[in-house]
Amino acid sequence: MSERIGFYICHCGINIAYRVRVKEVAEYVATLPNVVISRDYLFMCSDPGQELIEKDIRAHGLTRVIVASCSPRMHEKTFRTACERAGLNPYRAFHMVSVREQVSWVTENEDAATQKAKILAGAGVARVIHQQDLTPATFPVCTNTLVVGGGIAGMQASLDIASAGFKAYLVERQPTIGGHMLQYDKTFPTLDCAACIGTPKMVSVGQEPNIELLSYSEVEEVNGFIGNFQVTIRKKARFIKDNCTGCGECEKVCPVVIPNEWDVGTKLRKAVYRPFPQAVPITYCIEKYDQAPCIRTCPAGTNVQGYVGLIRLGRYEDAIRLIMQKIPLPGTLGRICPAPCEKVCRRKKVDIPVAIRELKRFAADQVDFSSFPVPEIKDCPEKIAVVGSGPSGLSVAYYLRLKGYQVTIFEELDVLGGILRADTPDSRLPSSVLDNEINYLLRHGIHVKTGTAFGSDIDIDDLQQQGFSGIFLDIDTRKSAPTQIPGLKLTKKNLLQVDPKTFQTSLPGVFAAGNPITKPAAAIKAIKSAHKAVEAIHCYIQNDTLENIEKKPGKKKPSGTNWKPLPPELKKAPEIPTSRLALDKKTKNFDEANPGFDETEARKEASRCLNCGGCCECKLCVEACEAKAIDHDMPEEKEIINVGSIIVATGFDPLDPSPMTQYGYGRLANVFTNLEFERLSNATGPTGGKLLKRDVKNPLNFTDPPKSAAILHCIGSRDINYHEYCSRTCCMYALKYAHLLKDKCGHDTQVYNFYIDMRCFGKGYEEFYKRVQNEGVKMIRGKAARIEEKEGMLCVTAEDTLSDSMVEISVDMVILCTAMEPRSDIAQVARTFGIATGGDGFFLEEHPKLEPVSTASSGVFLAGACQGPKDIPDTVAQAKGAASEAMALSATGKVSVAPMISYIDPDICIGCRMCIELCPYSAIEFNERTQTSEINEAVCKGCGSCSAHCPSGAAKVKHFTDKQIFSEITGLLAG
Amino acid sequence: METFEPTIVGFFCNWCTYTAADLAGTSRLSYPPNIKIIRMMCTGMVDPKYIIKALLEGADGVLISGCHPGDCHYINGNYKARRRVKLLKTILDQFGFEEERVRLTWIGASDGIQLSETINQVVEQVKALGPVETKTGMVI
Repeated sequence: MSERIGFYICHCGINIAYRVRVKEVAEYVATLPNVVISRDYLFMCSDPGQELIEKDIRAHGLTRVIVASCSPRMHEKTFRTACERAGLNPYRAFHMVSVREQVSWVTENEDAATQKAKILAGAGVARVIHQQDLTPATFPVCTNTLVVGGGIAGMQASLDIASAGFKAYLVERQPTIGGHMLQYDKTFPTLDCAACIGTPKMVSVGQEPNIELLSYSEVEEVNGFIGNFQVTIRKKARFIKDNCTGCGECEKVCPVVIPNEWDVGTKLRKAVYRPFPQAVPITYCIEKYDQAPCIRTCPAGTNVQGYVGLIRLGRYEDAIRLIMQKIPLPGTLGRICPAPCEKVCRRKKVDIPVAIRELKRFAADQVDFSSFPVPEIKDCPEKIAVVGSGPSGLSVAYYLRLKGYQVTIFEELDVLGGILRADTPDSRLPSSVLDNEINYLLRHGIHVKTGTAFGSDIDIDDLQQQGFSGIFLDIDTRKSAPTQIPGLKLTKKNLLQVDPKTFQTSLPGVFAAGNPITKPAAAIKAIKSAHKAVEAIHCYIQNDTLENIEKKPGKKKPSGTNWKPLPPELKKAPEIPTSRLALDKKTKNFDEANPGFDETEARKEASRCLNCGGCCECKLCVEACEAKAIDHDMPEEKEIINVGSIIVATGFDPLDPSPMTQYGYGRLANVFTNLEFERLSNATGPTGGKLLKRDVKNPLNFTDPPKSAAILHCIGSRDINYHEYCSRTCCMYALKYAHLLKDKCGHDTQVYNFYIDMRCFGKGYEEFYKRVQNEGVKMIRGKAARIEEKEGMLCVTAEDTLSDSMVEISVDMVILCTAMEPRSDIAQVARTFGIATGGDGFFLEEHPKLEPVSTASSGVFLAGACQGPKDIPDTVAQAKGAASEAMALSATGKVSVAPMISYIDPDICIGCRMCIELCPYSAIEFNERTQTSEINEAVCKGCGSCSAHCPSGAAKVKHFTDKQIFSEITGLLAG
Repeated sequence: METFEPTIVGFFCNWCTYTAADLAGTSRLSYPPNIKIIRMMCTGMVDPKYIIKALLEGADGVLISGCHPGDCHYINGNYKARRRVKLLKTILDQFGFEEERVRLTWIGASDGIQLSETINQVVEQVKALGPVETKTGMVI
């Protein structure tokens, strides 16, 4: 049967016809082979236009139809359906030529446009006859929906889906849902508080059985297609189990102080935290990174970050307890330690390392060791002899005593301390410090025999006869005696030979660590090996063998360097306390040369710590938690969920105005961003809802209410240097701020708005504008140029474009209405979901007017400010729209997928299997029986990786076959 | 003398550059009519023989344009296109075509302006090269 082609060119009103002589094109196409009908029509997509095609198909027996009109992305489906209604297979019969987007709208010359339209139409005529019957495959739809982002958009969409009886998975990156809306105070124009209308939504989400809330989680990978997505969710470890009651006891004891992101840094929080009191879920969360460099560098593994934090909080006794978990002599080490921790302190990237050793010394000096309580020790019968009382001897004695052993120290001299006392001058380490600390250790119940020389007064046999089941040697082997001890092997350097893992000498039950086995080294290193010896001795006595220690893997895998990111606004600390430099001073007496920190200095110094590890793992919270909900070893989990549709509601980032130096944000204390102002005004914020000025000296302190304030609109919006777009919410929240300032700080407060245009477009917005104007707020039409500090006030310079004059107004407080920006990681998120971003950087909707929630990826929908700046009402409306799209899909229960997928002709395939390697979806399998490759039609997406490579030409993408493309090329080049 | 008006065949990815072409139209950005676009689902399905075919049948230049690296709708089709075009360019000379006649670019769905600029550039470049002189009788 010969082909009978019908060609239709659309005027599109005048959109095509004003540049393309459509009649001429139709007349030209009529002359082409197989064309039996060629018409032009005003609106092909209209009902009469479609009926025209259907009638022609029936009346003239058309086998193929070509419409030359707009982009196929617009109306291909419309015309395919028309062909189907007239009984043709739509994929076989229909081809569309774009003569609007690709011709009339982009071509200036009428002749050229008409000529191009003829060529494109001709290529279509050439191509269409090679098209074949195709039938879309239908798949069942999984009725679950994934909602990404727990702001107001995500919450609303999830609630709507759940109320329709479908399941929603709500994934939120932060530990709580709520999003930006819950950070705000009042909402315009009604002035109802965001929490009052927001927290009930949060609670509903938490209680709704159809919503599975995955907080503190992120979407890692999305596979599958519309109706059948498999999504991998990474559930970050909260380190706190679900049985957390939210009592907050952990927070009280935590030593790590970190700026609270929820309060945009205006307030501090602990490493164990809940962003704000009404958080959903109520479960606390511990912020953890890799172990801080100071901790992992300390040979003894002292929890440096932890005790520095405790010093910052003034909890010196807690700090000493934490230090003494690893170092028995904090005041001593606080003076003589070479402090390798300070060399790796990340603070040096900003100014200089935190003075960790001085802080340790300071904390020790605050504690009276004569009255410092001794923990209760559960005694056990085994006796341990420690010979020598240097750093390793004292450490072994102390830590074994803490385990309950009966410890006796044998010392040749009259006093304990060994090398610590002998080798360190009093000007560096006063003997009183050492005495106090040693006495404190002895108070734990350690027995001492001084004046007992090893070798002459006592030897190993004696000790063993006296019933000591473990012996630890901290002796100077290079002097003389030990060479005579039978069975005790020495190295060439006259040091005790020990097993590197167990620290056991050549005699069973006799151990050594520290200086006797190394050349004299820093005390902290002796303490390090003492800890290992303690572990070995304990194991030896308990199990009568050292197998467990021997089997232990040698070196632990070093922890990573994924530390808490340095805060971008971090500045050099204003002053470094001077007394730490006093070490250089020569003294003429035996007094200690370095006076050390005073309390203010110490706490200030401690506050410079950057808390690299987040949580310092001091585990004080574990003890404090009555519910036993804390699990510091909680692993991160991955879960794969099946969903049919995805709603992306990831929101926006507020613009950081620091780079706009003319506004002085970050430099001038009382220049606030809008979000900071919201937190200030919010009852859970830093001031409990009072609008107060920031203390110039301490940004975390707030003083008195401002007498005057300036609100600067369009910071980063409508500005070609930043964002061309309007952020749509600033005019309205600026008016709200003006009202709040008048309301909370008194009606005599002078409030100035510097605006470009007032855009009060929504329901009740214009009325709110009038109301605020009537409250006496001054409106100045002109964008502020700069802010300077003058006589303790902030002087705003602007051009008043209405009076054509420059104005300078001094105020107490300035609020910058910053732009809404795409999330900083939007490109990565776009890739994960296979969606695109537009020129403004926000996610791109399928059509700006008619498909505002769909995306280029079928089954993925958008809601809220991730698609463009939006206020709360618009966000909620769009969320409901996205939910209805998802529900429509779930309710239909099936979805048809475009049939343009690959096909491998088994008669041609040579079985080379190249395509199998190329396929990004692993959709091709090799059939051993036929020795050919075969496409799995359910998995293939029709990308054509195989067809473009297939050496034999067996692999083809349906609807994009070589014949079709070749004919189109030939057609294009024939004209 | 009549000015040389080259014919450029464009193979555009449906998900990005073809959409950018729609955007260029909607934004009324004009560009020379020399380019004739063929819609592909991905640059990864552009078989090098399509490019050769176009040149042999009289195209003066070919523009292949897809998604930015990492943005491919089909994971990595654009990378495959990049490799194929690079390989193709090494043998174009044997067919008698300058390698400048074939160009591969990445133009995202929102880059309407970039699209019209690229088309302008390609047309200028091919105009400078002049018509294809090779008229082989080769058929593929």
